[in-house]
Amino acid sequence: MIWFDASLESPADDGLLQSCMAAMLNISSENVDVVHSISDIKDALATCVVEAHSAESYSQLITLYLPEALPRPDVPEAAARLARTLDRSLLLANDETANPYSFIRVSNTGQCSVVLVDPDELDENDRYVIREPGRENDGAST
Amino acid sequence: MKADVEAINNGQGTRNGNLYTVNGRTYERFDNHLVPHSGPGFHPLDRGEFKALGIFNSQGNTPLAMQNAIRTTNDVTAQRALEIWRLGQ
Repeated sequence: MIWFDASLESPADDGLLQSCMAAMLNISSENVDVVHSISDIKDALATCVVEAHSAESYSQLITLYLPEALPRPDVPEAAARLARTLDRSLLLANDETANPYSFIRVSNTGQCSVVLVDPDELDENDRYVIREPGRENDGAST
Repeated sequence: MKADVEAINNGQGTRNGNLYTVNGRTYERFDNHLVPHSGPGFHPLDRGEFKALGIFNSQGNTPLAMQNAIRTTNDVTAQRALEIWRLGQ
């Protein structure tokens, strides 16, 4: 069952994702499957589904799955461990707000901060472009 | 939604802080974007339902889509996602 999604600042290969996810969960790498399609999810203790990515920052989306029967560690804490072991920052959905453009950035040292991404880039180009503070626009759209 | 947003931009509907209501639907304004908040046709989804709905959006209502949706969530969540997907067909 889905645990959480994260976008990686820079792409990681399957082997690195496998070892880092295993380290995050304190389990053997053999118990972590890294696959590239939901159809390939099997019965591993943990599964990481990796989507295709471009050269852009935060374009590699990974989705982590755990069996429904297993307890789910706290997401921010787990994501901080994952970011540290991957040595790159991650973007997580910000569940504290309904703002779809608000994300939690977890740095490669595990520090969490709230960031806003460019709405137009996300909606129109599916890109996560973190905005500099203070940039505001007028006129509403969806 | 497009008509609602145009109506809001034309000054129609009511405003309460960052919430704008028109045609019975309420939107929340974040920066320059209006995001569905509540009302007819809006269905809040949790993370699993959202993921499962994405599967039905891309694969349709097929046995494989349901299998994948269950694989990523569970039977109940996959079924709710399918019901919401059907509303949009």
